[in-house]
Amino acid sequence: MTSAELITELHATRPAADGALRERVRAIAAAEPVRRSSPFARLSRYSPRRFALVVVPAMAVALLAVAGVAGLLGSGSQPGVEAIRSDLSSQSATAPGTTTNPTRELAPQLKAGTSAADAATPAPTIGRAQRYSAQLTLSVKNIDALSDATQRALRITRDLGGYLVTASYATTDSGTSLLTLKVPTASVQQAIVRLSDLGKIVGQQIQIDDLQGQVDELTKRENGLRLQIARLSARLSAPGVDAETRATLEARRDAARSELAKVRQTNAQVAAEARFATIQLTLQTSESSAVVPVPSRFDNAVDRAVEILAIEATVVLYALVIVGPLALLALLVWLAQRGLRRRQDEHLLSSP
Amino acid sequence: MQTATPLTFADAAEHHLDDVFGYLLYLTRDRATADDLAGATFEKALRQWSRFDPKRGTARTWLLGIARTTALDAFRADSRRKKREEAAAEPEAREADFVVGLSPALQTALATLSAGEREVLALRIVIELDGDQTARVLGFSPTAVSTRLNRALTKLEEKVRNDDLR
Repeated sequence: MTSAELITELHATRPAADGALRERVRAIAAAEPVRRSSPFARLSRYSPRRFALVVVPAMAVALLAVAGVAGLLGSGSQPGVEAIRSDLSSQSATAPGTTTNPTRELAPQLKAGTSAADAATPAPTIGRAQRYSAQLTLSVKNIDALSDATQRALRITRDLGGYLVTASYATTDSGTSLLTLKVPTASVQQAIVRLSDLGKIVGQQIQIDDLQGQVDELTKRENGLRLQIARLSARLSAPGVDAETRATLEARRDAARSELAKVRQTNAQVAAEARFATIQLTLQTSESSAVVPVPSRFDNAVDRAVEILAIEATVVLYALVIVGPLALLALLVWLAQRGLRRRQDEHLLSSP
Repeated sequence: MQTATPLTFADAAEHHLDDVFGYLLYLTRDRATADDLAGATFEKALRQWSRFDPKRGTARTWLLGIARTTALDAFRADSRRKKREEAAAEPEAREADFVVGLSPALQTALATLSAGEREVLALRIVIELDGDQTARVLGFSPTAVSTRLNRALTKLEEKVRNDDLR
């Protein structure tokens, strides 16, 4: 018998269920409940793989949507923004174009709102040559107040024997007045106190450089040169000096005189620098200091959405870190059980 | 032959009862056992009917898959019972002519095949499932199904030939 004949015979004698079994199965089928097309019944038909293929992207979209909606809802006026803005304005009160260098700061910066009387302005040391520089930033109410404060600052400077070096005054919606003032060093403390009264202090820097060592050195050099010139003059006036020696001595005396002139000039400059303190006064209206870019509603929405996305990502990451190993373990157990079951099945089916 | 997917469980049961019974009969070589297992298969299938998705396969392959699981569960329970009774060493008596109309030589040859080989024969030749459908029911690859079928047929042919020579 060939394979074809075997197949024909097997196919021809296809078994059929007897009547009793057929009736029993019909009785079973008669108990079939009405199949309702509920969403849960439909969901139960999906395999876990198909379910995951739908659920995972749906979850991702839902998380994005939550972040977007929350971002839009939270994009209005945020509590604390005004407070932050005003805080920034008080911190960034330095006028445009001026820079402050904290490393140069010797005196402590005054906090905004500190009264001038309370200002611990360091005084120059009497009897020592010192370069005294101060930067003072004041806030005034409006442009009228700015103009008035500028006038008064110039008057105070003149009253104390000082003078104006540079002035810059600009107004649009807001205003800024930048003044560089020279005030006798002896009166600088008084000048700062009086100038501070012109507005609200929003910044102050004072730097003191000691010049006394330089002055002493120059004075010593000057005296040495004078002595040298006197000695040279004495030798030249002495009898018996030959022509060649005379020429040499005269050249040396001329060089000493020239150097003396330079030293005296430098000494005078240093002394003048020490006599007058430099005050850079910045006056600005409150409005100009309050110009802080206000984020738009769209920016707020994006920022808020990004924040929420970051939180969601953190939560998902935590969940993965915690659930991941457990899920992997469960998968391994399931695979092992499945493999074992298949081997058992093979074993069961291997016997006749 | 591909049957159109029935809409109700009763239709599916009516259309595929012979297929399920035939498969189980070849697997067990015992009409009474096949009868019981067929009943159990349809009871289980009715409970799971709401999960049946026609897009993922025909009702026939779905029912045959349940029949196989039911039979294997029964074999497992039987094996455990035999172990408990320490009667596993004694081969259980099976019906010599479990398929009506088959020649005695073929009946005898079929009895020498393993249950695994008989189920492939039943599915591919008797019930006429195609390779992919058989693979789906058995959980093998189509290639493995084809290999097992060829082996079973060769074995069966040899047995019948040897029987004829005697």
